Amino acid sequence: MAELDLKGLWKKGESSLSDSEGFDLDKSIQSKSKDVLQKIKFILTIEFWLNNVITTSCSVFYYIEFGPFWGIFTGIVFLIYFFYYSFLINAIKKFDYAGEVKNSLKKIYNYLRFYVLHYKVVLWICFLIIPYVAFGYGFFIGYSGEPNPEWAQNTPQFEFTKSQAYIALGIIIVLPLLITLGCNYLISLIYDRKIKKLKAIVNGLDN
Amino acid sequence: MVMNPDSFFKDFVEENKGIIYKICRVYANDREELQDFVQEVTIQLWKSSQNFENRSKLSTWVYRVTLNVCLTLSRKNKRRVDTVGLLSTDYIDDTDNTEQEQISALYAAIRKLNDADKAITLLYLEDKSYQEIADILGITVSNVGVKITRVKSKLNDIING
Repeated sequence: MAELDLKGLWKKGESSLSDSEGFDLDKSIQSKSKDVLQKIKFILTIEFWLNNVITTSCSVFYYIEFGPFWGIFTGIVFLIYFFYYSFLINAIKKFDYAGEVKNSLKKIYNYLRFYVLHYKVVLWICFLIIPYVAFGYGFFIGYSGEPNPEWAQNTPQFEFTKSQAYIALGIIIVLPLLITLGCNYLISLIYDRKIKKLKAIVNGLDN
Repeated sequence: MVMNPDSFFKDFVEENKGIIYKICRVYANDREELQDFVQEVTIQLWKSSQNFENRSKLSTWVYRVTLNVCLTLSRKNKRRVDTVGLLSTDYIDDTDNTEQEQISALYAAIRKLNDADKAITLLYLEDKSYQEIADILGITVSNVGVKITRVKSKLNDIING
């Protein structure tokens, strides 16, 4: 089929198609966006406010309970979270689909990759590192007997049987690992395909 | 937030809805997805229109937004519907059957291309100059030339079997 025929056919197809009838602009504009970046922005905004509430409360509580050092320390953590999330949310707000196609897709691709990395780091910290450190610290206290706070001195001693100890160890070590790997898999399931697809399009435009 | 498009924007979208539908039709897998794509393009056009600074031509702007949205939303074809938007009900009755088949074959061939090639093909068929295609896609003019030659050959191969 010759070159001119392709364009001619395309024009003929254009004039005979009528599926744009019934198009309602007002309804369209007021509908909810299905854009992946908008979904991420929504999730990040929830996290942003959760972090604001939790870290501010912690900061005040630590200040009153443990003194100015811990109060200021949590305050600094709050500020880091605040600016980090503001940066992530603003990056989405500034994004405009009117940019050159290759550059825009590259931006979305880089943003999605960063977002996935962000969640994987959060997951590993929350579900794996923190439980392991907490368990390790508890184990250390249990065996060393130090520090030995007053409340612990009046608590009746409890000792695991061998089988209980294995079960506890299994739960403490295996469960966080399974949760982390499971959540990692879910995140990959949701975003990896889109990331790969965007990469393929950008490469397709490059080559 | 409730957005109320002004009459200028309404007229503009009305004038360009043909372009929007044509592009979305190539990337959508079915009618439902087609409506979703068109809806998302309209939302993004409206948002983007608030920042439009006349740095590019209006047509370039429409093609960029539409292609960006379609390429971001498009999914792997799970349900192979080569003739989406080309069902018999889409045509006026007096359209010649052979012509319909040829148009269907063209759409089916375009749908077999990868997403990047689809974008090049659409712009080429829309009679855009190499420079305009380069501006829309953000690639060099020489790259456009190479890709169009390659894509035309692919399309001919698919259509002619």
